[in-house]
Amino acid sequence: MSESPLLKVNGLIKKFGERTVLDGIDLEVSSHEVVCLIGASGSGKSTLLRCLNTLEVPDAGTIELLGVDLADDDVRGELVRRQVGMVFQAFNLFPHRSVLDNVTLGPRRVLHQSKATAVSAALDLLERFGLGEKAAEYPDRLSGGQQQRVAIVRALAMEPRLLLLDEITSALDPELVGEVLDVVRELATSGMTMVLATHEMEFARDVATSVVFLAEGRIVESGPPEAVLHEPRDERTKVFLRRYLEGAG
Amino acid sequence: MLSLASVFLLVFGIALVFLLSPGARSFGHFFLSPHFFRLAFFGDASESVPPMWQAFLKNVGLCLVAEVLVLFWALPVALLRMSKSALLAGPRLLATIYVDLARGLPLILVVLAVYFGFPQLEIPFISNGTWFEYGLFCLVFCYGAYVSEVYRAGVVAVPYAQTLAGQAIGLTKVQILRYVTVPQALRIVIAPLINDFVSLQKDTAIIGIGAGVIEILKAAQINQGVYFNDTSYATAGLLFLAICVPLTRLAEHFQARDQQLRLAGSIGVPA
Ligand SMILES: Nc1ncnc2c1ncn2[C@@H]1O[C@H](COP(=O)(O)OP(=O)(O)OP(=O)(O)O)[C@@H](O)[C@H]1O
Ligand SMILES: [Mg+2]
Repeated sequence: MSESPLLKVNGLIKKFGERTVLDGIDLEVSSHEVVCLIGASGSGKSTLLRCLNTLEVPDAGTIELLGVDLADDDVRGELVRRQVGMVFQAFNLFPHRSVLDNVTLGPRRVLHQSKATAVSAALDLLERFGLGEKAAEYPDRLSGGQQQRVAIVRALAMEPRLLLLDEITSALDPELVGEVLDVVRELATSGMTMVLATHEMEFARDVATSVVFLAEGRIVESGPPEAVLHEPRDERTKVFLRRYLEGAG
Repeated sequence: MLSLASVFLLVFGIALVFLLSPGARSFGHFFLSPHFFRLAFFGDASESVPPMWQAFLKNVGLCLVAEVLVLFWALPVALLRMSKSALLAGPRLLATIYVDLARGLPLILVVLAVYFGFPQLEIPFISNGTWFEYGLFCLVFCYGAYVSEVYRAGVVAVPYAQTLAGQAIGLTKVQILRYVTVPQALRIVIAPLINDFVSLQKDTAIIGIGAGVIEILKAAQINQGVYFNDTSYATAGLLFLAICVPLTRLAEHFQARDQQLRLAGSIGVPA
């Protein structure tokens, strides 16, 4: 426990106009951890993830990655910011670019890799996730599950230290959820540090090293998955999980 | 099959109304005579009637140059209209006023004002433009406003999620424009652009009202004056159709392709 955390969030506050959406979030994530964010719709999961990737600018508090404050507008801040990857609920692939071009855009233009290097790395990654044959296709020729796997590969191609996944299966047809979760499971096994918002409780129990329950922009309860999911202490967590179990059953 | 048959019947019915009308013969003679079509199209040196296909080249030339200028001119207008910076508030207002004026004024009024008004001003450069320069001014003035709106719609139509996705892989603002937003906006914009160019091409005929040069409208009028036959107007119509119909089909082709593209890559869920 002496190792300093990969990610350290302190007193994070985010407001949209009058509304406080994140109300003092403290969170630490160490390397190789998989943190699952759960909570009702509107509790602030997406907003938190977007703050972690500087897609939203917090109103107060700090986010440190590898000991560097992400708000720092210097070179180090910039370098570190690139080490956070994100995958969205709606995939957000670039529809005018082939799968391969989707994956290589970042490595080529941001990391300034040569075309040959970027392409061969991208092909390796696509191969690893069963998408080798799809490299030349355009997104509109892929199933939702395949598109989301490409989106994951696109994020991985930037060699992130931290991967953020925002409900990446909730826009998928049920029969396609499995293939995407399998990818995340493999990443967890291979030691990727991840923070993910999810409604898949069983999956969270399987892969999470810790589960964080959010309500109204605060962390109400957090800990190992067995504790939070099976023996929740907070009343709101209990209500949420009960409603969830009823919905699922 | 049934719908095709009913369309055929309808067209046939309308044709019958024309063919059986009391004035069918004289209508045919005055508007659709093959003989006068040939004279109008190829010209008639003995009566010093200019060939209309040659006059039409002036319209085509004017429209080609105008289109290129419009493409460029509309860009800063659209950018200004989309700008949010407080520094640009003045120019932004100017751009808005321009777009409102140019879209609200009928081209024919602009043509009259420019061709008959500008020379009277007696300002060096402005008052002695050629018919071609004045024509360019009128067309670029009017169509620049339309095309700037097309640009604006194109950029707005690219979902914000695409920008987020670009940010998420670390692209800079300029890189996002260059590799993500603008390429997609171009695809969205191409069909409406072609549509605007089709109507620009047609509107070159209006230039003939002011321009002292034998372009298609003047040529048709001369022709009519010599033979007392209106087939020259039908000839002009055919010449315009020959260019505009293929362009319209092309626009529809791009439209269909764009629709397909928009369905892909990202589903209808906000990021
Ligand atoms: N850009 C924005 N402007 C204004 N309000 C916003 C914005 N983004 C999010 N919100 C609000 O912030 C609150 C938290 O939203 P957020 O998307 O983080 O919730 P969530 O936990 O991800 O919910 P879900 O499970 O539905 O995805 C919501 O009430 C939402 O309406
Ligand atoms: Mg969300």
